[in-house]
Amino acid sequence: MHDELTLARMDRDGALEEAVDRVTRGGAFKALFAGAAGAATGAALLGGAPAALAAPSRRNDIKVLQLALVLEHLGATFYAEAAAQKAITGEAKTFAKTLRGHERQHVAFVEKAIRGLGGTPAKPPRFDFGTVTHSRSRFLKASASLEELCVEALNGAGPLVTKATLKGAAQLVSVEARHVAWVRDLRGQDPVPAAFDPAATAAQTKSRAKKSGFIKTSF
Amino acid sequence: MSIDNLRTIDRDGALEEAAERIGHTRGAFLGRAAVAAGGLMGGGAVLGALPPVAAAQSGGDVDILNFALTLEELETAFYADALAKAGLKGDTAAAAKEIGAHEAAHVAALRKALGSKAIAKPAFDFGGATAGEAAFLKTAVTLEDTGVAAYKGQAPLIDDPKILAAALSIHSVEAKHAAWVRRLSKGAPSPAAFEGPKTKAQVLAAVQATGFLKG
Repeated sequence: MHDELTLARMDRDGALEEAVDRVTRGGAFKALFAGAAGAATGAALLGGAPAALAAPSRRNDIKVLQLALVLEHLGATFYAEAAAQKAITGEAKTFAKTLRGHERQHVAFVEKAIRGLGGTPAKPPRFDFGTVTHSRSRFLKASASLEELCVEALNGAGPLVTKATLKGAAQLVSVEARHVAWVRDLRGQDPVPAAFDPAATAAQTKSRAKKSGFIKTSF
Repeated sequence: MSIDNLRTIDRDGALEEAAERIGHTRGAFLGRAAVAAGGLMGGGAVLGALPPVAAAQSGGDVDILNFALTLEELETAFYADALAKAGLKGDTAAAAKEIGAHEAAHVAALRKALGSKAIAKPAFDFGGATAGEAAFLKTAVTLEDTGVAAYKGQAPLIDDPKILAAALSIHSVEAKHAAWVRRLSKGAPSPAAFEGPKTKAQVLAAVQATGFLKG
């Protein structure tokens, strides 16, 4: 549709799309981040505009978890590929194998959570990592970005989901956070540069995942 | 991040106001990179350094924040004590310094949120835990892992979604600390695919068992 194409071109971080989606779904979903398109962070939540949060719902939990599932599939596929590369050796290989295992378990966990809520886990989109896993430095750099995205996505989702789903998400996010510090350390970076971690909205998460260039079909 | 970017996301001026409140000029706010022990600025992301904890309204949230404050005071004091006594060197010393600064930032943010409802700073004695590098690292691993489990246990009990957001923003940082100190002690940074919560009772029992809390 012509209108859709225009919206997609203008809507760089998906915030507009998300807002339209909420309105057309009906219901009283007042987005916490509606006034700050693409901008909410943990710090900005303090600000002032006390937008009412919609009551968490199973339906919204499913939506949140479907996006988390895409990231977990992305990770599981990425680390499986990296673990098989000759270029990835030593501790980087241990790292890849460990995360392959963790992300695979996370996929299973999130799928089970979605089913428990009455939803059907979405099939993963197609991934293509090009030659990123063929070099230790490029692999670790991409990993650092991906793991941090998972942390921020889950942090953002926390206040929006039911308590039951929050308990589940909480079991994953600290593991992803450990992954971040580990890989940054492997890269010779400050493992933990900040005292507080940001939160990403669903729109920001989707946008950043798309920007990785690794996801070849829509999600 | 340039001031233009900052203005774009700081729509209601809350970030700028917070910066003014903690005494940072615009220039200092943007350009500051040094870790200030006991201050609010981390060594890296400027936004991440601002106090994210909103004022606690419910009695339940006050109790939770005071529980978190106790643990953060413990950790802050522990890292400071280790830096003074444990003869830390190189990467371990750098980690103790930075993690300690983060914990101090957490203390400051929690005290700000609690206002007059904040508990007084407890007295601590770390004994042999800060006597040398090996003991320091072993204790750091335990404290950080316990802190993660503590925040994880409290998160679903928090009433205010803004306070929950703040708790989550600290919880993931504690997990990063845990991975860092584990790797320094030649342990597995991320030993399990899932991490479970600990209840307040379980955490307090663990803290009491250390003997670090005096009186």
